Amino acid sequence: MKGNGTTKTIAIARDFSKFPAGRFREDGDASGAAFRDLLVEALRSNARVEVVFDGVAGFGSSFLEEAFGGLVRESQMEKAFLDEHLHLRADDPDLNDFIHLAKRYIEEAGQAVAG
Amino acid sequence: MTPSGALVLAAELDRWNHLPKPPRFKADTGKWAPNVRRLLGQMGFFALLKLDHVPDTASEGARYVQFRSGTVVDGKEVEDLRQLDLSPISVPKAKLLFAAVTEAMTNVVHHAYKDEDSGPKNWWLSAAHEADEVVILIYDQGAGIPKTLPLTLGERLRDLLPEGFATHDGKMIEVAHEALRSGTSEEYRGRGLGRDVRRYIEEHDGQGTYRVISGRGEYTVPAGLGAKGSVRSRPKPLRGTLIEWRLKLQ
Repeated sequence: MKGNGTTKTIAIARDFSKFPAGRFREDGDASGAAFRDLLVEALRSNARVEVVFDGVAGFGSSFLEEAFGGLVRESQMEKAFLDEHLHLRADDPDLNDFIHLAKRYIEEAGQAVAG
Repeated sequence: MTPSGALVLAAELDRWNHLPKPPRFKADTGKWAPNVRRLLGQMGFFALLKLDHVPDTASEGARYVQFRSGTVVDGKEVEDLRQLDLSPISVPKAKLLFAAVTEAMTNVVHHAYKDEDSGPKNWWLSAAHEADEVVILIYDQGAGIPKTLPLTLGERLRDLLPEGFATHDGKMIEVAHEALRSGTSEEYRGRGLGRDVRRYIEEHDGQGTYRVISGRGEYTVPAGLGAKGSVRSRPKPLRGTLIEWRLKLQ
């Protein structure tokens, strides 16, 4: 197990919103930037962070890009650190595409930062 | 009158209500065509505009989501589209629909209105289920996609030409879906129209269309992955942008 040996679970529907939407805080209460705050707090404890996508109505790409790509771009977290500490999962197969997209945004933000 | 026309009309009159000195809207609804009055009533026109109205008998077999409006991205309003008024109909691929409509809403909040615009900077949302067809609608009264999309040098040069040679509004709407081009210079933004908003119809297995009307342009894409879209010019411009997802239920 990576990190300090503990695992923190963030269930988006339970701990944040069933209806995540929008990019910036001013877009609305359930924005990608607001969700990123939860992720950053958990990741900075050096725990392994498991994010559960189940139970959510869906995700727009602005939300996912700001929440996950923003970890690298805005919160200055390294992609290698996120590969070790951040685990995204869903039991609902309809959510797998959104998980792939979130990972892709981390990848793209890592490439952009690397220049 | 179609549900799309009803939404645009309701939004325009709702905008009047937000003016510093709103004009008084008087309507002798008893003289309106019964089918128009019934459609508007069922879509929440009179409630939105706070007009007294004796409800008509509901259309048999048709259901409508009451007009709703806002200025922030509100996923709960989108979820209501399928869970309240359209229940128990299961709108296909609900998670993709949620992504499409919230992303369209995000586009309104980020790009549709200019800072100096007076009046409400709202989106208006509705949906209708008539016979075997569902239509989901979102509308704003902003500057329109053709006017908010940054022009390339070639497009700027074409815009100097007389009307008829100028950049085609429909083409600009298509470009906004195809390229990573939006009203922002940040590369990681501006992907929502193609990636989410249009995708809902692309992934629909049955018949359906995705249509965007903005300014003088119209862009239409049939359902199905890889389906080719088409553009056309409209004789009269539409204020703002109307997005319409239309699908046949199987």
